[in-house]
Amino acid sequence: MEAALRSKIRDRYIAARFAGIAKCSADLRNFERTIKAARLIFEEDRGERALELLALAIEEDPACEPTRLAQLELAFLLHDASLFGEAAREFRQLNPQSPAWGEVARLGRTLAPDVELFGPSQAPGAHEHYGAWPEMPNWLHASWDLTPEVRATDFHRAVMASPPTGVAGAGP
Amino acid sequence: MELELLPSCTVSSDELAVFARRVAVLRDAAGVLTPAQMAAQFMELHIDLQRFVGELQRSLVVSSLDWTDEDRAIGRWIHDMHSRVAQIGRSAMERARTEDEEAAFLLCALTFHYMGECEKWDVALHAHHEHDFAALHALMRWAISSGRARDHNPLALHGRSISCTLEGLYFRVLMLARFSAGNLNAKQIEILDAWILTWLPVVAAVGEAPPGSALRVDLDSSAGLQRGPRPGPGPSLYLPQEPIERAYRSIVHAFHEGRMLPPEGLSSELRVEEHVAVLDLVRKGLDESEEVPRPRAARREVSVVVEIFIGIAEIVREARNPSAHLSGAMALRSVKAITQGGTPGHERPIEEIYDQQRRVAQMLDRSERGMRIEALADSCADVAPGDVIGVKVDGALHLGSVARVTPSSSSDGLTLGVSLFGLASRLVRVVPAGEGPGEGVLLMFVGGDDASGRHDGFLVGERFFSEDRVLDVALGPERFSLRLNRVRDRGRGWILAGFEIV
Repeated sequence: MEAALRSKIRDRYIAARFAGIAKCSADLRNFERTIKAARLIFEEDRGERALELLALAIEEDPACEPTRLAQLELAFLLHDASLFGEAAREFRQLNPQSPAWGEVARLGRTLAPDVELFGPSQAPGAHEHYGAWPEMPNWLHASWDLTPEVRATDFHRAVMASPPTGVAGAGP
Repeated sequence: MELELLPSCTVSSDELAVFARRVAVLRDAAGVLTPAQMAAQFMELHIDLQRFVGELQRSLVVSSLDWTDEDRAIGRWIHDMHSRVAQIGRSAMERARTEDEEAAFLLCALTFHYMGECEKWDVALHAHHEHDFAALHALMRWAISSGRARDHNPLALHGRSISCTLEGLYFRVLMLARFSAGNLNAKQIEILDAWILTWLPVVAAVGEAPPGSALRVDLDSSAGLQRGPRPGPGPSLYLPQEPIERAYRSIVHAFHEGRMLPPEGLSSELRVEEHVAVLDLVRKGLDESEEVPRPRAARREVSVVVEIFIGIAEIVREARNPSAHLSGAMALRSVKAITQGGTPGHERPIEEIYDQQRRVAQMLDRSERGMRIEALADSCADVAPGDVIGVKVDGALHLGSVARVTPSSSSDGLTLGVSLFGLASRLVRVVPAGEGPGEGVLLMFVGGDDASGRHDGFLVGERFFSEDRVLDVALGPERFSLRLNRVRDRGRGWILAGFEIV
């Protein structure tokens, strides 16, 4: 009874807090959709909310490696060394053989060079870029293809060029 | 006489009269009782009043139905009782502070509590007014000088025993007043109060301004909470953000675990969605506190007759078939009001100025991202914070959300604070993929201030958003397919959705 009530409260919280992204906890198991949503939220300068979404997804499916990696990349991009260290420790514990560890450690050495877990520190690199850059792992699934961004600019221009009153667009 | 309350609570006017009499008796006895006796009788009344009002409040606040006139009458009675009790406490405390510090401490705590209750009922009754906190600050100055401001004392509040300090109860009044300025409903202010009561033990103000724009109160003023460092010398207190930040995180963490904080009390009976709305408000306040103080966006006074549209349906209808310009007679009335009375509404009956059917209103000032509008109360009786609004100014439709609704200080009308969405709007016909040629659906496009389109959005209803379909749009020779994929902002029945081109 208590567990069912808790589950219901959590579901309703997720549905209200992340409207349009998830209707309940179970929806967060769709990690591709969740990671994409977190990236979009992050792109709108709401890093804390993006981290919360990933935290909820990890609580739902702690073994999901892609979600944990997305959390690590986001913590790195937000310069949250404390969260990055904590998340990296958990990742290492749960996925000791993960081939992604080398990348995690590389980012960790940049962000928190004094943390032993990441190995000996190295000179800081240019890892500030977000997205599909060769030196970033892109665990947030940023698109390599910039076509949608270009089309979004075209769309903005086309709509704004229409008269301010009346209906723009004739349908296909 | 029996008054029926929602959903099934009833209260007799005799019961109300009994409490009113008890309050009057206590007030009259204040001159003859010792401070200790006064404090004891005050506490007795407090316990009984809490129990009695608690039941009434529950039936009013938990209900999802609109309040009836009787419900509002009960609300006004509660507000009135709290206000009288606060006044009695303040007077009694004035005497006690020179005679009996212990009694003064208790009376001060209860006075702070009832002042806070008045703030909450101001929200429930939409009875916003200019505040004068000089008396409140005077009590706090005594609390500081007596060295008792941070003494912990358990108080029975809202059915819970809460460890309170005078400092915490003082800031509760100020926080409720700040957050109740027209942007919360009765349920949400109850939730916020339940959280504030939970935070009371950790509220500890500092005398020096922390980095950012922390909330500040000037003890030698009559003003409430303000942001940023005090510009000149004088006694001020600042609220550090870290304890509140921790409290905020603990509430979020509890929701992750499927728990509500506090787990009992009236707020725990309210919908999770209301809690989430308050969380957003608190988050916004915390973010503002971390920012470097900056001057408010420049507002320029204007005096323009505008037409307003509430809700997506009204907005789309207007965008599709723009209404005729305001009639000559109406414009003439408005011009007369402006030329004869300065700001319309100041010297002439508001009914002469505003048109009821067309929601004609007066824009008082505007900034880059906001507007302040005065409207006839009858034509906007259904408008509430969180509604989406269209404001037609000189033929151009500006979209935004109602940030606050307060009674006008100069007329019988309402003043609406509007937060604007974007730079421009267009009505766009979209066709959900797979539907084939047809009328499609008309959606309001909201253009952001970035030519890349990354801040653009569509104003849609919640159901439409949840359908999550690909939408086709033909603009001249160009064809686009897009999908709404994020909530940028939301309110009562609407979502401002971000989208991606697919």
